[in-house]
Amino acid sequence: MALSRRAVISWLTLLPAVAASVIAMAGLFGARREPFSSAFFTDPFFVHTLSFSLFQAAASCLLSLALAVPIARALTFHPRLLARRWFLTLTALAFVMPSFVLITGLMILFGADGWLNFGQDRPWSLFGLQGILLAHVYLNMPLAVRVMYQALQSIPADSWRLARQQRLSGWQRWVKLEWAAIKPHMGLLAAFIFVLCFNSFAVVLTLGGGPKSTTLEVAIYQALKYDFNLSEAILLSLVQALIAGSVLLAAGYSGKTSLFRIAQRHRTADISLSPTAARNHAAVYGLAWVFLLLPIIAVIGKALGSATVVAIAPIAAATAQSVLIAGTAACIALPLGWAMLWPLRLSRQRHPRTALWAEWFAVHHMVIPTMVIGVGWFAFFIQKVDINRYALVFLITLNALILVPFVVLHLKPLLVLWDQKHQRLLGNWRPSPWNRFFIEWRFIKPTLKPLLALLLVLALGDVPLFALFGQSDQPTLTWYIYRLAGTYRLDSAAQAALILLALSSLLIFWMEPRHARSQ
Amino acid sequence: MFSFRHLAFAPFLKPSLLAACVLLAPAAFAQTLTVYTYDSFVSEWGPGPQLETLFEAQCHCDLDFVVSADGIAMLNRIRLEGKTTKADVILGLDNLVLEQARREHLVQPHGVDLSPLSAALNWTDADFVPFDYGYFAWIYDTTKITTPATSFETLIASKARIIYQDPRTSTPGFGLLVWLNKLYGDRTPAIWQQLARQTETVSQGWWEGYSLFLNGGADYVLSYTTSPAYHVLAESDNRYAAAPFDAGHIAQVEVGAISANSQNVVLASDFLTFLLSPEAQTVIPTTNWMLPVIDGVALDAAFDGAVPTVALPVDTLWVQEQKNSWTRAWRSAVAQ
Repeated sequence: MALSRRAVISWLTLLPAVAASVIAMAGLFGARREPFSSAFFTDPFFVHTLSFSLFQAAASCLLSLALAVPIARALTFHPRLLARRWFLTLTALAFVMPSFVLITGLMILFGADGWLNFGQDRPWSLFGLQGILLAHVYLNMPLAVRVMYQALQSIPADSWRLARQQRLSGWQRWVKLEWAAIKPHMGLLAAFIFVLCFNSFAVVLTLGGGPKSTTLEVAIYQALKYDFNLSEAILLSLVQALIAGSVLLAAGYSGKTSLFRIAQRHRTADISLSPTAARNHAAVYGLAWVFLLLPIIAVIGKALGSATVVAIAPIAAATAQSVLIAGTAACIALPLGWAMLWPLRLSRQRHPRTALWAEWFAVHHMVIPTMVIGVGWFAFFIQKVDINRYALVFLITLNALILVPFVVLHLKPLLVLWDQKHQRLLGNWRPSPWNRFFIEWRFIKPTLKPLLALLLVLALGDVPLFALFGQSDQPTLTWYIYRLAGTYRLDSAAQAALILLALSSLLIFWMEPRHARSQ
Repeated sequence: MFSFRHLAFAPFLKPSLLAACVLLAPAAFAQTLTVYTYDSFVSEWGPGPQLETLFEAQCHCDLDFVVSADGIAMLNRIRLEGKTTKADVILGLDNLVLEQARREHLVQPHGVDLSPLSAALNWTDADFVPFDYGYFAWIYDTTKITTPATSFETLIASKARIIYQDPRTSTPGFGLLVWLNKLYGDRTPAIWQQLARQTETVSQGWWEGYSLFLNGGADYVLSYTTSPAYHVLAESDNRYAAAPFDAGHIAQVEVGAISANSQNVVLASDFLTFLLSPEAQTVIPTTNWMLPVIDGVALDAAFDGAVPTVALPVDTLWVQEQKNSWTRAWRSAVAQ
């Protein structure tokens, strides 16, 4: 295959992501002492861990998708839902909910004094598979609702009218219209949720309730940190990356979905709604509100109910530090991700397999545990540079790299669409790179606000990277929360978490289209 | 050799210049002692800031803390740094992990006079100097439990709900692992299985379990005998107490050591000696919420229950040798 100069240059854009992984691997390989041993893989505990990881991810994914369907339908069909826009904002917030807030909220709700505790003989405990599923559904079902709602919104009004005229039954309408609209998005959505749950860490460690619920990610954490068995950590992360990566790649073919967008304007589907159906939709909608709000309210109650008030000055400093790191990282990740789509776009039509590789390199950081990259970098640089002096550089660089896959996932469908539309035009016109840049910029600009907010909120939640590279006298807000919690100051931690939640909510609110009105 | 240090005292200098030199002196000329430690030790509530002020006043040196997330992260950092480490003092390993550092030759003999140490500690280690300690214990709410467990047997018989931490990821959890094996030897897996029936959850870290307990998620949580003192002194809350076990408790002893690569051995040794001084030991109880390692430190009455009647000795080498098989035994006993 003869590669044009342009193709070669385009592949260079992937260099930062690939170099980051190479550095991490070099660091881990250089520092490991134990030889690679397959003993761990024949250990029945590894088999158990792997199958549990797969099972809980699959179950979390299926549950999230299944529960999202009635909610997305309620949003679409009920003509007069109270605060529909606010609900959509809440779904965005729930998806990026800082894990401290969620875990604390669930613990308050399910503790003995909690609102959802039904006495000593309670039918079930929060901890174990059920706790993991509950938290994963809380985090991911909202995303599924958004994508499905978006898909249902894209069904033309004529189709609804036609369905009504042809007197399609509810089932027929579901198959022919609704499912047909949702289906194209299901591949990527399911894969994305599966990977998030498969790689989930804080939730599993806290709500898993013991070694029964160990996942691969937890095993990697243990190998990296407590056993300091880097060989085992490398092998385990390879297994993890292979599985998560294949799932994501398999879904990559269906690249039509932009996961993080939401319609500017709501249109209620034009169907005849029986009073019973309307009531059902309203009930589903109400339950979804309660489900998503309860943990937040629990944390607010805990934070405001405390007699002590957390000191404001360190919180303000920590918040500033968080915003600095997350903001810079997001601003770096955005152009990086955009550029990394270039080789994929060039080869997509003629060499789909090459394009797949290009996409894999662009998003592969999503399937490698952050901690593995972090420890790898730490091991690589610790003897070469003064890590403490350049802490901020490391934190920003690594956070940016972790965010790149989200940029790629968001922009890919948009830019692929743009390419399809303008291919012929561009073939004749051949604009200069600058011109092309500005044309594309104008095209993607309106979608960048939600993306930027998402990136910011994700980076605000970073713990593993700060744990490695952070300077203790300049903590981020998230780190400060864990420090409060780790030194008995649980009420103050809840208060600080509330500030993090408020900051995230502001960003999310800023991200949602504001001028839209329900019709 | 000419040294700038002498300039500050040169009589021919103008007073203003002299003042400037004196002001600059500590920063420009003093030795720097680099102390590796963990995050909460140097946090605004930890003992770090006060100890730094106290020690710098007497050593005329600059104390520089290099901070890791926790003791294990610090150990890993030093392992990765190898010979390039800047650490003079490694502060915050404990008796349950110190053999790893010794085996990998990360430390050197401290030469510190250990005679101030409280006899109860029975500590003679040549490489590690204790600076505080605390006993692992089950904490309960006295308004809910009137007759607390006095042994693992009575704890199991009471069917009370318990929370403990994962021995693979948390120091108290690992402490429980050692405690049970110390008491029950080969019978430990059976005890684990019985405890599993009443375990609400095994939390990853200390705070998750403790937080859940404070929210009423269980009757007992594994923590330290010093935990109730925090609630009394910081929150004026007398509700919580540590259940004293007749068979005894084991301690986590936090230690400092001189890094094998330190070029500052004398100053490092001075610092470890300073940690055993009454002024340093007075700082520790209400900042690190652990017990002082020397006798005669005035402690608030809130700490009264913190020293158990029976303290079980821990053989650090035995812990190091057995910990993997203990962890595996726990895993398979609890995962059933």
